[in-house]
Amino acid sequence: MEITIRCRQTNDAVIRMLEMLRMTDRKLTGHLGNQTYILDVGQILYIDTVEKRTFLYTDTEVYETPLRLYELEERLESCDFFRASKSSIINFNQIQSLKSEFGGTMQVTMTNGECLNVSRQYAKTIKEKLGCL
Amino acid sequence: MKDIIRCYRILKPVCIHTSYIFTSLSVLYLAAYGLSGGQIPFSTGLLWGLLAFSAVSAGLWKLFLGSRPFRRLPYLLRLTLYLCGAALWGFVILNLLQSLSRAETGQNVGMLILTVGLLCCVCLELFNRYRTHMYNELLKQYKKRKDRQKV
Repeated sequence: MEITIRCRQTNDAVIRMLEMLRMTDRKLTGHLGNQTYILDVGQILYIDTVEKRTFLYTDTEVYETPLRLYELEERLESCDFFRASKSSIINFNQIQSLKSEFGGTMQVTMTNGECLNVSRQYAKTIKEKLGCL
Repeated sequence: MKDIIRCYRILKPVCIHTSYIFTSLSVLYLAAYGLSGGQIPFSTGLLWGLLAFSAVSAGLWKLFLGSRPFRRLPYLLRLTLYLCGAALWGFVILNLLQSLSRAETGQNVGMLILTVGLLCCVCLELFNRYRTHMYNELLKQYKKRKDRQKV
């Protein structure tokens, strides 16, 4: 399959379209400094949004992506990513351990040792995946 | 704003923990009062005491078992510190109530409720630990299933 995009200039809309196309191949583009990297979805630990900017967290680096969190959530659902809170998506395969908290929330420890919180609303997704519900 | 969110994150589990302990102790107190046919002294002071015990023991739980600096210590030591702290605080409340109204408080009832309160603290902690253990076991199984699918 070959897709050709013809445009007069490369604007944000074109870049986002390219990102979407790359995602079908389980690849994401991340910007770090002035350079752009193609990342395999499996190596991303989690994704979060800070002040309307979306960041991809790998084991060692943090990359920025022009895609919105909801777009990533829709596309990455099949790759075992799940929404953990209003501002983050977690790669289920990169979870090392889980800790339940009172009030229904969960604390997730990633393979790089980082701890993330999963809100009560989205803790259900983990329980469903694990077969608790 | 960050400080407010941090406070919220610390206080929320403490409040929930407090509500669990306070509810179970209040129900026990009411049941004991009803079963004894009103023989046990019933005072608002004791109810306030129950609330103070629940709140502080929940705070101690968060401090010893839920905060990062203490994670370096072995779990059993942290659990012991938590229970000893809660027991000590319970005795302080009992003595305070005793000194305020000697006739109404009832030392024996207070001791019984304090013992049950500590048991509640242990049960809640053990339940949470078991739940965490269960989730991690299920996570291991899930990863094994995934690996098999890959093969």
